[in-house]
Amino acid sequence: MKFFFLLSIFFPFALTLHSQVDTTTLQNNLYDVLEDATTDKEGIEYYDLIEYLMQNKIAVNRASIAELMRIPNIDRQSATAIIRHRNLLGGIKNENDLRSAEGVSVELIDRIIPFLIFGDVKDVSFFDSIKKSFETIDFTLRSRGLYDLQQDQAFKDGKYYGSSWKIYNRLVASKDKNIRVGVLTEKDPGEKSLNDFTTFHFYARDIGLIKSFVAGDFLFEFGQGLALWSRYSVGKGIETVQILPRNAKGIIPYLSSDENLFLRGAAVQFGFNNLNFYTFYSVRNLDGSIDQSTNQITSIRLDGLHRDSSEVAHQRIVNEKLFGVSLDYTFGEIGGIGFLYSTSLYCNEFEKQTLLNPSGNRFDYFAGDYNFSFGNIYFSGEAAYNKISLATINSAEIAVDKDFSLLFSYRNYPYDYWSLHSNGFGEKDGTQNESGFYSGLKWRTSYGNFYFYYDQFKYPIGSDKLPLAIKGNEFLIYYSVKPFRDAEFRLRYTNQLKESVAALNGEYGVVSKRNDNFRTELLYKLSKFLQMRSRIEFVKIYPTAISESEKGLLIFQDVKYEPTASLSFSGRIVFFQTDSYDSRVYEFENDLTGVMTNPALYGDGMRWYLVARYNTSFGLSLAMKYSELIKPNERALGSGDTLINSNVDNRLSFQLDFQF
Amino acid sequence: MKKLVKLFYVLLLLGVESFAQYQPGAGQIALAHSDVSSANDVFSLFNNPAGLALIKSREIGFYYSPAPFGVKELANAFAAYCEPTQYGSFSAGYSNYGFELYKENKFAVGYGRKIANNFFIGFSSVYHSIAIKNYGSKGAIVFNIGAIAKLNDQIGLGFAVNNVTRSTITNESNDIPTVIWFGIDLIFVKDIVFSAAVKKEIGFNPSIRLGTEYSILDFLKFRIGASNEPNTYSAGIGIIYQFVQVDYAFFSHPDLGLTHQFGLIIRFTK
Repeated sequence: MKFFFLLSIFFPFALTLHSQVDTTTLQNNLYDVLEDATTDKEGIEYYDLIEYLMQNKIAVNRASIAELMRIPNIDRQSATAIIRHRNLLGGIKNENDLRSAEGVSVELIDRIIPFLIFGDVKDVSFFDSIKKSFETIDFTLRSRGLYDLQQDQAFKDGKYYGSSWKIYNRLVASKDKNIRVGVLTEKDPGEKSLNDFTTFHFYARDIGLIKSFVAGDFLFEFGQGLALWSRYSVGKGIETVQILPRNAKGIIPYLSSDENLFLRGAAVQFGFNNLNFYTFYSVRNLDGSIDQSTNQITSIRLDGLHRDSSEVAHQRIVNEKLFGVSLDYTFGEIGGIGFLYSTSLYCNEFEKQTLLNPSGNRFDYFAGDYNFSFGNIYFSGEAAYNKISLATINSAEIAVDKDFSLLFSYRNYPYDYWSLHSNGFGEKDGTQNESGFYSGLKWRTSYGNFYFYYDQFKYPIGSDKLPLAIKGNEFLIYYSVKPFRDAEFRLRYTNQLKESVAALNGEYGVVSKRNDNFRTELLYKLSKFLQMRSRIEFVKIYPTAISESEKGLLIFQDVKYEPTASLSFSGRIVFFQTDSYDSRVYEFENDLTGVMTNPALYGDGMRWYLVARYNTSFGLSLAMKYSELIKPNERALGSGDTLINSNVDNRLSFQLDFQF
Repeated sequence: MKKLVKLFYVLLLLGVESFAQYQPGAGQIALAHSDVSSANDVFSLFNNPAGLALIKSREIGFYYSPAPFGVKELANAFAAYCEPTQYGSFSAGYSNYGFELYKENKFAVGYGRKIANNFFIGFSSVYHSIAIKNYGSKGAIVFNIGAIAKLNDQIGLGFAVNNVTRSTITNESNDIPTVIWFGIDLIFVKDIVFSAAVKKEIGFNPSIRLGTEYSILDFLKFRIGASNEPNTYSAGIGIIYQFVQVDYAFFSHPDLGLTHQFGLIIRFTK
């Protein structure tokens, strides 16, 4: 009922204004890549980056290789092929010109089109932009509310300060892509204030030698992410080759709702032909814990929740100052190099509880990265030194031809390498205490596409209970084929063998666990307005010395219906049955634009949802989602603070996007 | 007395905590209900209602299972009617099951429609009531939905969800189970339809169903099917003479033994 009330408030706005960027097509394309990337991770906000890049499209006729490489999932070989094709044609006027490029696959072109603008793009300088009148400013507003219809125990007990609504508001004003101002506020369920979290930035670009400038909140990406990176990255999954090397984007104005690992201050980039120089400074108070007796930092809290007095007590108590300089130089098509120095200073020293914890309050990083092409082989890597040890990653991509490519990568992150802002490629998060060798293969044939990866990894310190090395390996085989037009059949098998430290008869030992996952999926497009997706997935966990074997199953049917260009519905019904949480299954859901939901399903039950979207012709778009999880054979769901005294857990969420 | 004990035993094995979920069609049973995507007769009303959209002419169907597992008290009968029109196929049906002490009745209406060249959807609404002697009667309205997609002449896909609204008769959730069915049918050899389906009901392991229908002659069909969870096998024949189709099927349950069922479909070709 509340929804209809809100809808009636929003509809009066729906009277004037112009068209809106359609992000649904892109959302479809990204679905598969993000599905793997978001498994087992919370609050991943990759979509915000995608949206930012889409709003700041790259002019294909002016872009350098380095600029094209900012597009997610593009490989160097294809970027080079696009530039050669552009030089051959004397300019890429439209989509069809791009499609005729030799050496670039159809799938890739479909994926990159939303990030490109074609034809002659007039270069409007920063100074031209500011002279223009106020009317040329584009505003985009996004408001979102999520409400859980079943109250958790903590809310019933009145434990939290605020209501169970999650509310998000964001406003961006931009002028000719040269100037951008953004502000975002967010309230998590249980928090009191609508602006419990606020982020803002002022961003400008192309002011003479200053290529970009940001004041406020921002992110900085360098090299392969060993010393400094954003929160945005895609992990191992069905994209087996194009996950490495990563393409650092330098300064990114920040506008996501992850409350912790961004930078706040100012950053500037100067560009002289092929040389870029960056410098940045950030001062922030992070959430954390400080031991009152020793005055040492015992932890940095990343959940961003401030719902009760104990959580508020940890709010913004760890002061962090971060300064850095960086430069990069590109040698045209051949490659490039970059260097970074950054230093971070914390208000107190860190407490060294285990071998893996940092100690001291000042951390310096010296990092260098390189990339160069040698025939069909593209080498890249980074080395980062924290004055104690050296973390490295080196990769080689071999593009045998446009349909067959290989990737090999070796990473070595010592146990005493630590950086709060790192985000290197690996089996686990943290860019610490891991070495590994990754091999990936991608082969497109007329009989379908094969993807494969094999990753071996080792953690030099298994655990503080048993400081011996533990190891593991994982492989994935993925096959997709289009047996006929508008239908796609997919098979995916993953097999993971991983050691962990466990207590057995009062003593610590290493147990090895095998985890198999088999998924088969069928996607079919029945007409231009109707798409279906059916999936069956099995999980099998083999028995170990301390655990029994387990099985899990998931079945879903998905329907997407777009009766008109402005109206769309998507719905899914999921049945699942697993022996316990360990054999849980995931399904990545269609959701409101910018929200990524990948719930872990376990036990015996079903889940279903419906998303409806309506885009008006004048810039307003409305969306809502209703989802429901049901476990008929249970009396209650969850436990402790999240206990629900019902076998149904349902949520209503809605969103308004307004461009004017 | 012996009969009553057997009845109790059968109900125990079949019912668990849900009400009995008999589904009609001698043809469907012979195929172990693997025909989710190839449903195309009047009994689709109670199975995958999207099948109604594939009916080309008016149909009336009767189905009778006189003594499931040798127990006359479990006899169940279905009757269904379907009228295809330019606005889609409309259907209505009735079934009854039980004996003097315990009775279940179902009144169903359904609608199926072709919404794209190769895509059919349907839904049905069933009023499901139970009457127990000396305890009175109770009922609930249950909704079923389904869809069938014909990818080409050789491959069809389908799904159906029974009791999408999770209606209940008693206060116990899931007394009428919510069930999802997925199916595929393949015609690799002329006149032979191979079908496979998965059925998943909350609280039970998934059940895989396989079936094959071979049209030996224009008027004669042989059918065979098998499933796991429970392990059953079944077979049957269908004889088509002008506008009349007569079907017979037997089906074997691992614990309960053999059951025979009969069906009659009359097609009023225009």
